[in-house]
Amino acid sequence: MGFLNWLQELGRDANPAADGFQASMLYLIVSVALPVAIGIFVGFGLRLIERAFGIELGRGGH
Amino acid sequence: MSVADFPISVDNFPWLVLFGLVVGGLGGFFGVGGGFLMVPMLNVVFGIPYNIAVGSDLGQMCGMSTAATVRHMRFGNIDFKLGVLMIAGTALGVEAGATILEILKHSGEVVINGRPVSLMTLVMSLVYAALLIFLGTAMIRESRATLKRVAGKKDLAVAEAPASPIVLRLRTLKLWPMVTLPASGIASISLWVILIIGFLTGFLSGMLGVGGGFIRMPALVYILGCPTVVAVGTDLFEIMFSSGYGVFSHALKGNVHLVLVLALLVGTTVGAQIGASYTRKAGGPWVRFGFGCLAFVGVIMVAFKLYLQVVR
Repeated sequence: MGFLNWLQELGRDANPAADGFQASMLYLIVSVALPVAIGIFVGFGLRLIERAFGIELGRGGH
Repeated sequence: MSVADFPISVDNFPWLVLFGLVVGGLGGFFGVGGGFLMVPMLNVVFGIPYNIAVGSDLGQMCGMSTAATVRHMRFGNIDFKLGVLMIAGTALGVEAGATILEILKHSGEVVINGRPVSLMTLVMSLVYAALLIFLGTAMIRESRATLKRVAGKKDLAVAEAPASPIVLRLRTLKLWPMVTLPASGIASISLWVILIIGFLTGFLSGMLGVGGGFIRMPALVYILGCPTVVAVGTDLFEIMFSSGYGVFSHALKGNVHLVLVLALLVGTTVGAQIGASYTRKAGGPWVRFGFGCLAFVGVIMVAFKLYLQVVR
């Protein structure tokens, strides 16, 4: 759970109730980069699986 | 309440992942971010404060729509030209909507049934409910009519929404500059129509704190006249940008819980892929019918939350 604890600690710095609150640069970067990175990883990962096994997991849309 | 006051325990992690899987599956199937279900459910089921639910939900929405966009890119379901043109209107709309929300936030409270209720909560709930009822009713009526028309035909994929008079009028509006959208099968349309749709949907998403897919997707189908398959892909492309901007804005305010984002992302990105794979099997009209029903689930959630605030 090291990664989870690290994420938790990053969030702990983000306390808008504190005087002179300013989100840390790392917290801001991770907030945007984490979802984008996971999204790209999952999206391309599935495409790789389809190509490797010659299957179509579904087109989306209709 | 800030993220510092609200630790997500490891015990909750698997349940949040499972919750994300279900909501992500629905989002992938209907081509929406699922924020209108995610935010109230996080609050009702897990007791997560709204500011953190909204900020973290935008994070998962950004990741989910990124993964879905990558998927749709492979199938050519995205009209990139339309998406890029719409971003300008969407960004302006999101800012305008967020400004209105800030004004409402500082408007104080009203007393209902002897209990103080935030004016913002009251206005937002009513706007949300009215919008969902309108969309749900329109979608169900149209999809039922289409299903009746194509009854007996095996391939529901060809059963697109019929062009309404307003669509035909907007398509023929000759207001310079005119653009061509080959991927959507639109020969010529005024850029202003695209920008206004982007602004209006962005305004509503900025004000309601959701990705706006449940507004933009029907707008692309019913107002612009895009095929449903292109509308779903292009909508996800738009959600990727609007939620990315939203999560950055909420992170500046300390409203993004990174552990919660991770838990929801794991569930929703997998769920979205599963949901998207079933969309084609269901066919356009059935997708729109299901989407309409889901809108009414959203109405019930909003009404229930408001009821609890007034009675409890």
